[in-house]
Amino acid sequence: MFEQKLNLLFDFQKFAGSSKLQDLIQDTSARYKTQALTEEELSYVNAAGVPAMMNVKDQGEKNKDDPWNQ
Amino acid sequence: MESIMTYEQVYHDYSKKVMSYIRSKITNPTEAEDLHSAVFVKIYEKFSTFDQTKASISTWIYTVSRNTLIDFFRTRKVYDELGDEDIVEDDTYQGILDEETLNELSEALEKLPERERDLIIMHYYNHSQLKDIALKMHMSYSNCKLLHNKALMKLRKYLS
Repeated sequence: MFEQKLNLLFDFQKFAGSSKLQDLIQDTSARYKTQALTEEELSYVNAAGVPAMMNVKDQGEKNKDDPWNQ
Repeated sequence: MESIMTYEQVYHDYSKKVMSYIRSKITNPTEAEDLHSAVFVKIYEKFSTFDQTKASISTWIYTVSRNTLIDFFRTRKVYDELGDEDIVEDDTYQGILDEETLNELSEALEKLPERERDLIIMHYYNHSQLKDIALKMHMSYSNCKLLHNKALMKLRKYLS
């Protein structure tokens, strides 16, 4: 029953928007928000979402026996 | 006490709040618009019978909005979007829905240690599952459940 009360109060908050409570909610959101990728990190991700750095590493592995890379 | 409002004033003051509340539950903008209209049609129909001297208009509009959403989800039978814990039509708690109670809740939350407060907010405001909260807070699921119960006991005491 108490959990039901909490659910209702937090739901009502989405409607009424008490600024005091909203500050606490925003603090929590700030602490646990997903970190956005930096521009540099984004450049490593191709359109398919596969990081291009993986391909560079694979190339390195493939070429390790290449005498021109010794 | 709030002064008596006309329907036009109510629409002006609450239209955005209602939409914002609906959009917190419905991602489809067309459906949100339809529901927003449905809410204000109901308010219009019942407006003349609602006694503003006896009850809070804010709570009434919230209740109409919430019940409209519940009906919508029941029709679509998509309970997951609202969450079973939200489908409550019991009027037991209607009397607590005011800014004063929200302020009491925020004072109670401020007394909790930060981790417990964060857990409560993520679980009851964001509707995150405890297992997901455990991952975010870098703790085991069993510890998260313990922390949750601890926080609930404290809140129950602070709000009683």
